[in-house]
Amino acid sequence: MMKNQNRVILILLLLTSFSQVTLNAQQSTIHWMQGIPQSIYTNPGLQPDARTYIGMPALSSISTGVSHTGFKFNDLVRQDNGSFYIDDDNMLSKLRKNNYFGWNYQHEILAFGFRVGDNYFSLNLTEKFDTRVGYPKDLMTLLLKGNTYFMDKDLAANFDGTGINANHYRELGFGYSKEFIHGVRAGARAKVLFGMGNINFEKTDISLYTDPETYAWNIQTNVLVNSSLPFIKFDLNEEDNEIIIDDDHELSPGDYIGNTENMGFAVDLGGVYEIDHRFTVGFSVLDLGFISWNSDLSNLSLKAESFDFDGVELDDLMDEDVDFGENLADTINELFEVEQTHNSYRTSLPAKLLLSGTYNISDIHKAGLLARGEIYDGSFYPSFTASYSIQPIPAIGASLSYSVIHGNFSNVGAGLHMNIWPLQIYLSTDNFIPAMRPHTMQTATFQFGINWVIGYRPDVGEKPMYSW
Amino acid sequence: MSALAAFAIVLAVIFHSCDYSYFDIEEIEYNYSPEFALPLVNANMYFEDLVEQDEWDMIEVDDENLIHFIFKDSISFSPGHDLFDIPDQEHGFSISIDPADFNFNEFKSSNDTVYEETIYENFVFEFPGEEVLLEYIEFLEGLMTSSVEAQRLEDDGFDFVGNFEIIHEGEDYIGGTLSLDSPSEVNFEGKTIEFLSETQDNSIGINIEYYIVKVDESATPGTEPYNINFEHSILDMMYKIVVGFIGEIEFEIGDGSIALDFFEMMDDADIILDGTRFDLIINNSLGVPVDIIFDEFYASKSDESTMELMGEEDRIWSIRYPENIGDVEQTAIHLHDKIDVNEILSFSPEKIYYDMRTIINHQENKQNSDYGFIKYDSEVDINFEIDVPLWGGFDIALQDTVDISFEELPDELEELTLNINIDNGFPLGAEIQAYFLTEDEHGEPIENLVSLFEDDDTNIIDAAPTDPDDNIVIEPKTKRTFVTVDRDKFDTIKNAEHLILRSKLNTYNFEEGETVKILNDYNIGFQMGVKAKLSVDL
Repeated sequence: MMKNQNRVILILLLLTSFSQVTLNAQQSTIHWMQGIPQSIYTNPGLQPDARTYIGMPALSSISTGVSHTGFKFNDLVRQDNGSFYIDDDNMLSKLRKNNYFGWNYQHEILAFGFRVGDNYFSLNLTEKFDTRVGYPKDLMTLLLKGNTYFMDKDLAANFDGTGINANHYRELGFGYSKEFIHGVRAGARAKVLFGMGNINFEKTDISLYTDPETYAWNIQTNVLVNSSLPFIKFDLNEEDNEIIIDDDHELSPGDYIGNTENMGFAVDLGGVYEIDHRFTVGFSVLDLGFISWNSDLSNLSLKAESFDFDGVELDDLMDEDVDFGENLADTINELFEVEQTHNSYRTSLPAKLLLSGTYNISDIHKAGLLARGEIYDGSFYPSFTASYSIQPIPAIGASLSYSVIHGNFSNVGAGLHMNIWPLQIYLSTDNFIPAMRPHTMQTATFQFGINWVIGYRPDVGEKPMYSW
Repeated sequence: MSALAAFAIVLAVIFHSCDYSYFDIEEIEYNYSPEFALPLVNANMYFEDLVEQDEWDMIEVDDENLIHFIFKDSISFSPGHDLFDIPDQEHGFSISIDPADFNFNEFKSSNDTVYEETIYENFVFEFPGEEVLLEYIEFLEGLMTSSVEAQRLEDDGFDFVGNFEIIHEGEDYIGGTLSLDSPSEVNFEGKTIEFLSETQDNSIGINIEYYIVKVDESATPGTEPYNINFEHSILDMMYKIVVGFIGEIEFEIGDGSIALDFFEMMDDADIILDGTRFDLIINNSLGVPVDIIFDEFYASKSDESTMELMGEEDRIWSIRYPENIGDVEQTAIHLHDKIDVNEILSFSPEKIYYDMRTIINHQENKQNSDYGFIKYDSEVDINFEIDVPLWGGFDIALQDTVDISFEELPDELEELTLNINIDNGFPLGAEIQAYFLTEDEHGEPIENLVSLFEDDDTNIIDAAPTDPDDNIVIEPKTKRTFVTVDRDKFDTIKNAEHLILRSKLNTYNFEEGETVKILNDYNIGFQMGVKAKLSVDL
C-alpha cells in the first residue's frame, strides 16, 4: 500500500499540474466569439454583436485559470506495465530554463458598452488577481540531482527567476472602437489601475558554482524583493536578519479596497481588417502599462556580492566546541545579509501580443487561428489556438478550440453563449481535457458571465458584423 | 448537419479518451539519489599554526628564516646572605676592682668619681667553617647590646659608668655609654667593621673607659674586691658585603627536570639534527670560586628508560667569578661539545633530570681558601638553553588506537568521497592508514575489518623536494587524494569498535641521509571537500 504521505504528495503534484494556466487566463477560445461582449478584451478593435450591453453587476465576467510552464504530471509520474514510478530525469528534461506556476482570477464588477454609428464605447471595472511562483530548471536540478550535476559539467547553477510575483489591482477601463474605413476597425482601451497589494521579486540573481577541484562554492547574489502589503506590517531586524511581523497591525476591508495610493495606467491597442466577406485578420497588444506602488512598502535586498565558501579552518573542524553545521549556517546567514528600505517601486503588467485570423466557412460556420504571446520576466511564452465556431442563430453560438500551450498539445477548449433575450449567459474554457485526462494538463481556464445584450440581431437585410 | 455530426464525433472521441488511472495509484517507486559536494576545510598553515599556542614562546627564527626550538630553563642559587650567614655573636668578660684603690673619703659628695680606669678586650667573631678569615663586613643591619653588672658595687652605693668604643682597622666610629642600670645599644646599619689584621682571628677590640661614681651619700666601699661583669652581643646581623677568606661552603642546588614536550609525540623515531646546541650559561656575581657538581644528569622517557648525558669526569664545572664587587661574570658551558646531541635526540627524551650542588672555595685541590667577597644579593644563575634548529631529517612512525562507534551512520548515505588537496611547501611527507577492527571478549582489538585507504594509496602528503646544497625547498609538491567509502564499506565500518591510526612521517629523501631545513615561510595548503551521495527510497 502506498504510504499516506506519498498519496498526499501525489495529489499535491496533480493539483499543481492542474493549476497551470497561462496568465490572465488565455481567453483564446472566446477571441472570435463576438456574440460575447467580453471578447473585445482580447482585441479593442473588435466590436461585439450587441448594439448595447450591460454586464450583470458582479456576474458579467468571472474567470480563473491556472498554468504551469514546466512539466505535466505524467512527465514526472510514469507508468511501466501498470506500475508507477517517478522519473525525475524525464521531468527535468521537460523544464525550460525558467518556469512558473501561475494562478489568475478576474472578477468584473461593472461593464457596459454601446454603439454610436461606427463607434463603440465600453467601460469595465474589474478586480484582478495574478500570482506566479517562478522556479528555474537549475533549482529543481539542484534539489533532485545535487550540485555535483553542475560541478561535473563545470557549470554554475543559476537561480535567476526564482520567486513570487503576486498582484491584486483594480482595472477601470474605457474602450473605444471605430470603423475608420470600410472593413477596418481599430480601437483602444485606456485603463486606470488601482494597486491593492503586490509582491514582486524584481531581482533574484543567485548562482552557485562548485569548483570541481576543491568542491569550493562560489555564490553570487543580487536580490531585490519589493512588496506593498497593506494587510501585513513587518520590519527587518538587521542584527539577526529576521523578519518581525507586527501582530497588532489591523486593516479594515474598507481601507484595503479603497486604497488609491498605488495608481497605474495601461492601454490595450488593437485592430481588425476584414479582407473580404470570408477573411478577417486582427492584431492586438494588451496590457502595456504599469502600476506605481507607494503605500505599505518594503524593499528587501541582498547586496550584489560574490562570496566564496571554501571550507572552515582546520582548527574549527577539529574543535569539538565548534559545530560545523552551525558554522556553515552562520556563514550562509552572513552571506544573506538582508537590508530593508521603504521606497516606491513600479511593476509592469505582462504584455500580450495577439495575431489572429478567421475564415468564414459559411454564414454559420467559422474557422479561426490565433497566435498569442506573452512577455513575462524577460521571457516570451507563445501559444497557438485553432478554433471552429458555429452560430446557427444570433442568440446561440458555440466554439471548439485546440491549443498548443507551453509545448503542451493536450488543450481542447470550448465556448458557448446563449441569449434568452435580452439575458445572455456564456461560459468558456481553453482546455477541458484536464477534466478527462488530468495527468496531461498544464493549463486550464474557465470563464463565465451574464450580460444584458440589446440589438444583437442584425436588421433585416443587414449582414451580421464580421461574418455573421 | 454534417458539421454537427463531425462535432459530435470529435466530442465522442474526446470523452472516450478519459483516463483517471493516475488517481488510482496505490504504489509508486522513487529512489531519491542526489549527490552533493561540499567544501569542508581550507587551511593554509605556516609552521607556527602547527604548534600549540603555549609553545610559541619556544620558537625563534634566525636570519636565514630557519626555525629554532629553544628550550630554556634556569636555576638560581639563593642570594649570598643565604650562602654565607653571620651568626649572632656574644662575648662576656669580668674584671675585679679593689676598693682600696678608690679615691674615697667622707668629703666626697654624690656623683663624685672615686675610681677610673680604661680596659681593652678582644671580641672574636665566630663563623661556620674553619677557613673563614674576613677582612671586613659592611652591615645593612645589626644591633650590638652591651651591659655591665656589679651587684655589690651597686649595693654599696656606687655606680659604674663606661664609654666604650670598638677598635678595628676601619674608620667608622662604633661606640656608646653604659652604666649599671642602663645598657648600651649600638645600631650597625651602614657601619663597616674591619677586623684586626694583627690577630688573624676575625677579631675586633673593645676599649672601655669607665668611672666608679659615688651615688648614695651614705656610700661606703667594702673591703672585698668588686667583680664587674661585661656582656656584649651583636644580633640580627645582615651584611651588605663580606670580604676576606670565606672558606669552603657547600650548597645544595637541588634536583629537577626540564620537560621536552616536543619529543613527546615521537615514537620509534629515526632522527638526525644538524646544528643543535645545548648550552649552560652561568652568571655569577659571587666574588669567590664556585664549582658546580652534577651528581646526576640524564635523559629519560616515559617508559623509564634513561640515558646518561655525560661522563663522570665532565660533571664538575668551575665557573668564573668577578674580581670587583658588583660585577657579574658569565661562564658558557657548551654541553653539545661534551655530549652527542644527535644520540640524545634520537633517544627522544621527554625529560632531562639533574641533581646539582655547588661548592664555594672548593678545597679539594687547594691548600688555602681564595680571597673574595660575597654581597648579600650575590647569586649564581644557571641557564639551560637547548637550541634545536629544525634542520635535519627524520623518519617517524606513529600509531594510536582509539575506541570508535559508527553505529549511527545514516543508512541514507550511499557513498562518501573525500577529496583531499594538499599543496605542500614543507619538505615533509606523510603516509596515513586507518584500520577498523572488531574486538574479542576482553575488549581487545582482534580482527582487521577494513582499511580506510587502499594499501598502495596511503601516501597523502608528498614531501616538497629540497636543494641538496642548502637543504631548502625548491618548489611545493601538490597531491590530490580521493578516499571513497561506499555502502559496503559503511556497513563494515558500522561493526568496527576500534580504530588503529598509523602514520609515517618523513623528511625529503631521508633514506639517502639528506637533511632539510624548515623555514618560517614554508606553508602547506590543505583543502578537503566531501562528496556525499544519498539514496532514499520514498
